[in-house]
Order: sequence, then structure tokens, then C-alpha cells
Amino acid sequence: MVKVLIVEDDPLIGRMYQKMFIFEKFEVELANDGEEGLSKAASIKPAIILLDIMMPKLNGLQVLEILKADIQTKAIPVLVLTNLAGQQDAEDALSKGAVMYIIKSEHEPREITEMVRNILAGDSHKQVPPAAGPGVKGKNPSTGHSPSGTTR
Amino acid sequence: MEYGLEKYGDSQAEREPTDIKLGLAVSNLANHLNPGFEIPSNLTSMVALAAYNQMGVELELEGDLDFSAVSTRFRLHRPPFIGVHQPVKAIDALSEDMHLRSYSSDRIRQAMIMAERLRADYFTVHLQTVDRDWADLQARQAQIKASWEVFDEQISFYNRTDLSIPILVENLEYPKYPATPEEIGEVVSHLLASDLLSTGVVLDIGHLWRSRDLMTEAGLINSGDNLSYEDYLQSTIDSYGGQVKVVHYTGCRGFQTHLLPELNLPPEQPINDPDLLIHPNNEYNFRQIGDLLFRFASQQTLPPYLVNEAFGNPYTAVIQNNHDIFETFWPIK
Repeated sequence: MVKVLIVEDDPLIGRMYQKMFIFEKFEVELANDGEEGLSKAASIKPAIILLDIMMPKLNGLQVLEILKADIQTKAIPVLVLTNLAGQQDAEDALSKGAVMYIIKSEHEPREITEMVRNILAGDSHKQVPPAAGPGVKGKNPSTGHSPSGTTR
Repeated sequence: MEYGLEKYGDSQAEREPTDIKLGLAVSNLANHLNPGFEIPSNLTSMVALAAYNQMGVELELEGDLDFSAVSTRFRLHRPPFIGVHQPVKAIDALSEDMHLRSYSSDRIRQAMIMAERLRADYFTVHLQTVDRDWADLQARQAQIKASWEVFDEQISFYNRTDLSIPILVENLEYPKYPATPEEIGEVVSHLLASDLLSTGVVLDIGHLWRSRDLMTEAGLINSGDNLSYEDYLQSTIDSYGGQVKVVHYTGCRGFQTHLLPELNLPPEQPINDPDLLIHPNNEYNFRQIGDLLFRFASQQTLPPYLVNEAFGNPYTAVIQNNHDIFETFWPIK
């Protein structure tokens, strides 16, 4: 199964995404803060990382920078999930190597899984599980673009 | 009874006037609270003007902000003190809506981090931002408990992120918590038991006044006790004054709590005209309150910052009002 690492310090939000990704046949690992996220990224080598920004210890942008500076983790696509719609944060995240910057409240969890699926489909090295149910229209697999997500 | 004057010393000034620091509160949003106020031009002018007038600034950070857009405004002009007020618009950290709760939490964290990076002197917290139907006192108690849980989560974030800005909790209007002197006492106890190195309360005299009225209307305060607002404020300061780091003061006319003190006096009328400072029912006597506050502030080892929280007025008017108030209650001799 394709492994997804969710780095999110809000337990309710984290569990919500975890449930949806498990339902969609992904293998999910949760990390509660940036430090744990880095540690798990190195140890489990996920296919993709969903990364919150506003976290204690290391924030998401710091984590992203470290991931992209490490030869072991730099190739892992990172999708930044945030509550904050600041343009500067989005630009920072994308310039540091995130593949997409998404405002959490603007997307249903199911949409996020679809975005992940599309991002991974653009990477021929990953085996992407088929969608588990109806309700999400496919997006361009070669770009992974979402209508309202900000992409690099 | 001359409230404040008797309790807080004689007519002799015990400190130099410059020991008491006045400031003004402002929100960065252009809305009904601050008509015409927009980042960046007005914030730049306001900070410069406040600094020029030796007045501090308490900035309520609303919306998603770019830190550099805010910090550059304080780079050239440094007011005597900077406070940052947590966002309150469209914020509900107690919401049952998971996304709104999560969004609210992150916005407060973001403001806290900005305050730290601005090297602000304090960060003001509201434990609650939304009035709910709290006629059921048990429901209100449940909300209070939830508020503390959210606050403690924020403090956990604060500690794990190695922040150090003093965190102050403000008293609010009933049914929000804390509303009464006793509830402010509970806040003080909670803060002192927390692992915050620097903490205290923001005493908003308008909120305290309005809470008293609302609770009297709700039958929660026995009107037979005939407790005056001045007594109410006096008892709060007597009990918890040592923990009051900031005072929000406003004039109170009608049922609004964020008006400029004595705003509707004709310009030629001096603010200290005693006949004009005696208000009819439901309005407190700003002469007595001002005396009390300035005497109280003068006797503190670290005088609290006195912040004029008259939203909805041009900041130039607030600055002029501060000058008038300072001259009235703390004239240079």
C-alpha cells in the first residue's frame, strides 16, 4: 500500500484525514508535530507527506526546508495543508519545494485524497490505489492541479 | 465617597507623570471598528503619530497577515510600548465546527508568534469570542471549562515553540468569561498555577461595567445591594490589582463600551468640568473612574499600561483624547 505521512498537531483534524486515507486504501502514519514528522519521514519513507504549517517546535515551513535539504527525503512530494490563507506563506511553501498549498477548510477530506492520488499518478514510481468510492471528479493526473489549491 | 482618591493616596503625585504610559488600541481591519483604516498607510501613520506623542499601541491583528507588512510599520517608529491583541473577528476556538475551531486556533497562534517577533510587550487573550445562549448557568460552566482547555493548549504550543511574550487574559462582557471580580480572581489563580513565566490580566473597565449591568438585568446581581460601578471596580482592584498589567479604558455612554471618553463634549468644554462628568443612570462617572485608575496606576511598582480602547474613532481623536485625559487626571505640576 502507498504510505502517506500526515504531520498535523490537531488530533481531530489528523484523525479525520487518517480515516479518509485509510478508507481510500492508503497506509497512513500520523505525526503530532514537526520533529516527529521529520523522524517518521526518514524512517518510513512515505510516498507523500501532508504537512500542516502552524505546529509547535518546528513549524511546517521549517520541516519542509529540512526535508528538502536531506537527500533521503528531498524527493518525497509534500502537500502543505493550512488554515491560513496568507499569500506569503503560500509563496514560501511553494518556493521551498511543496507541490501544493491547500487551505483546509476549502476542501473536503475526499478532495484531498483525490489530489494526493493525482500528484502520485504524476510520479510513475508510485503505485496509486484506485479510488474507493464515487463523488470526486478526476483531475489532470499529469499536473495534479486543483482548481482552488495553489500549486507550484 | 470619593472613590480612588481616598483609597489610592492623597492628592500629592507620588510618581512622575511619565511613569504612567498611555496608549491606544487599534485593529488593522478597515471595518466598523476602524472606519477607513487600512494597512499599510494608516497603520504607518498611526504608529508614527503614537510614537511621536509618546503613546503605546495595542494592535488587534485580524485576518491573514503578512508579518513583514506589520513589522515594517514598527521599524522606523517604536512606540513606548506595543501590545498585540488576539484576533476576535470570525474566530471561535470553542466551535463545534472542526474547521472553524482549527482555523481559530491557528490564527491565535499566528498572532502570538507575530507578537513575539515584533518584540511586543504583551499579548492579550480573550478566553471566549462568541456569545452563546448561556442563560443556562451549567452550560456556561461547561463553556468556561472548555475555554480553559483551549487556553492550556495554546500555552502548550507557546511553551513548545519557546515563546516568551507575556500572556495576559482580558475580562469580557457577560455572558463571556471572565465577567465579574470573582471570575477575574479565578483567572488570576489559573494563570499563577500555569507554567507561564510572565502573565497577568487586562482589566477592561468598559467590559466590567457592562457585565455588571447585564448581570443585574439577568437577576444574577442583587440590585438591592445597590452596588455602584465604582465599588465594583474598586473591589476588583483591591483584590487583584497586583496582577493587572494593562487597563483598557473607555467612556461609557448609553449601552456602548467602546466610546471615546467624553467624546460628545463640545470642543470648548473642558473635560474636567465636574457638571459634565456626572452622568445619569446607567453611565459611570468617568471623573471618579479616572481618578481611581490613575491613582491605582501611580502606586504600582510597574504601572499598568493604560490603553484607550475607543474603537470607531479616528486615531488622531483618540490621541488628543489621551492628552486631555492625562492632563485632567495627572496634570504636570
